[in-house]
Amino acid sequence: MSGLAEFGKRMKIFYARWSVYLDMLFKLALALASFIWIRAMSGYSPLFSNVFLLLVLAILCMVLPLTAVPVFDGILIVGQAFSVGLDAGAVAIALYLVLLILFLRFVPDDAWEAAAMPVLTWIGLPVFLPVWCGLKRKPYALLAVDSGIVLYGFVRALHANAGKLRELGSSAYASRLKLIIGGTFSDRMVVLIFAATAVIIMVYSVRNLPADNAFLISVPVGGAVYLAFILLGNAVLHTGMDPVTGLIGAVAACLLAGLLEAMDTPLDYRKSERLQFEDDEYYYYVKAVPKFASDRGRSFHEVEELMPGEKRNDDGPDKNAVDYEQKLEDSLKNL
Amino acid sequence: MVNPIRFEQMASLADFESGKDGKMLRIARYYKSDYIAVQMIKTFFLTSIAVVLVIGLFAAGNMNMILDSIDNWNLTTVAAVLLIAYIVILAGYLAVTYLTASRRWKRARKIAEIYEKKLRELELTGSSEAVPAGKSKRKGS
Repeated sequence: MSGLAEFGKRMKIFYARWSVYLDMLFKLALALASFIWIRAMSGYSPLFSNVFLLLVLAILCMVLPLTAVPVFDGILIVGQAFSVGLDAGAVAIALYLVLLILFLRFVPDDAWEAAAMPVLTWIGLPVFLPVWCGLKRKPYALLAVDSGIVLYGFVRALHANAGKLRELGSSAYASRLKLIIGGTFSDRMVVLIFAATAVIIMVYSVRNLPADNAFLISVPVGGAVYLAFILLGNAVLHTGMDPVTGLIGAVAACLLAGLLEAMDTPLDYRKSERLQFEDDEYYYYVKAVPKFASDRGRSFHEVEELMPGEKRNDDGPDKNAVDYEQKLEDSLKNL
Repeated sequence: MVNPIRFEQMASLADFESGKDGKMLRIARYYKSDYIAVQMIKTFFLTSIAVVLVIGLFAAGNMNMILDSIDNWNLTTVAAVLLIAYIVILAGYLAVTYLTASRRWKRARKIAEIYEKKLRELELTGSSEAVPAGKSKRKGS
C-alpha cells in the first residue's frame, strides 16, 4: 500500500508541474470520447456526424471550461435528433431544458459527469463514476450522474428504434413519441438511475465512517449494491440485463476506482494509535493515523529525482516516530 | 521602482478577484435578503417552465392512452392533482434554493471579509511605502 501511496504522490507532483496541459488533455479526451459515442449511437445527420467537425469541437473544448463538453454534447444530440424528425428534436430540447433547470443548475462543478456517464455506460463501466463520486465528491453529484444516464437512455432509444421510426413515417406523432419517450425512460434506465443513486449514497456513507480503511471497504460495497440492483431489476421488472457483464464491469470499475483512491490516501492504518487526554474543559478521544513514511515531513518540492550515485536521505519510520501525546499537550498549552 | 511587497499583495488580490472567489465577491455585494429573493424568483420561473415541460413530455409519451380515455376523466380532479403536484414540486425547489442561496451568501461574506483585510493591508503598504534595501527614503524622490 505504501508503494501505491508513493506512486500516487509522484503522480500528484507530476500533475502539479504539468496541470495546465494535463487538464487540456483530459478535456480533449472527454470531448472526443463523448462525441464518438454520440456518433456511434446515432449518426443520422451527415453534418453532426462529420469527423472534422467533431475534431474541431473537441479541440475547442480543450481551451474552454470543462462545462463546455456537456454543452457541445447537447448540441450534437439535439442536432442528431432533429435529423430523425421534428418530434425527436423537440423531445431532445425539452429533455435538456428539464435536466438543466431541475438538476444540473444545482451542480455546475459536476456538469461534466453528465457527459462522462453515457460514455462509461456505453463501454460497460457504468459503476465507475458513481463509485468515484461517492469517494471524491458529495452526494449531490448524483444529480449530474443521473442526468447522464437519462441522456444515454434518450440516445439509446433513438438508436434502438431507428428502424421502427422510419417505418412509422413522420406524421404518426403519437406512436413515434411513445417509442422515443418510452425508450428513454425504459425499465432498464430506471433501474440504472436507482442503482447509480444508491451506489453514490452508500459509497459516500461508508467512506466517511470512522473505521480503518473505510475507503477500501466502500468500493466493493458500491459494486455489490450495483449488482444487487441489476439482479433485482431482472427479477422484478424483467429488464434482461446480463448479470455476468454487469459483474465484470462492476469488478473492473471498482478495481480502477479503488486503485485511484489508494494512490490518493497515504494513511498507514496498521500503525494507528488511540489516545485520551483531558484539560480543564474537555476530555479528548483522539485517533491518530500516521501517513506513510514517504509522505511524512516532505513538501512536494523535496521529492525529486536523485542524481546518479546520490543516496536518498530517508530516515526509517522508527527514527521519524512522533510522540503524539507530547504534540497534543504542546498544542493545548499554546491554546 | 516596483515595490516587491506591494506587487505581491496586488498580485494576490488580482488572483482573488479572478476565478471562483471573484464570483463570490459579486454575491457578497448584495444584501442577504435581496440575493435570496433574486434566486427564489429565478427558481420560481424556471421550475414552472420545467414542470410544464415534464407534463408535456409525459402527455406526449402517453398520447394514445390519454386520447382514448380522456372522455372518462373527471377533468376537475385531474386539474386539482396537477396543481397540487406543481405546488409540491415548486415548494420543494424553493426550499432547496433558499438553503443553498443562504449558504452561498454566508460563504461569500466570509470571502469578502478576507478580501477587505487584504485591501487594508495593501493600503497600509502604500501609506508607509517600503523602499528597496540599501536606499534611504528622500523627499521628492
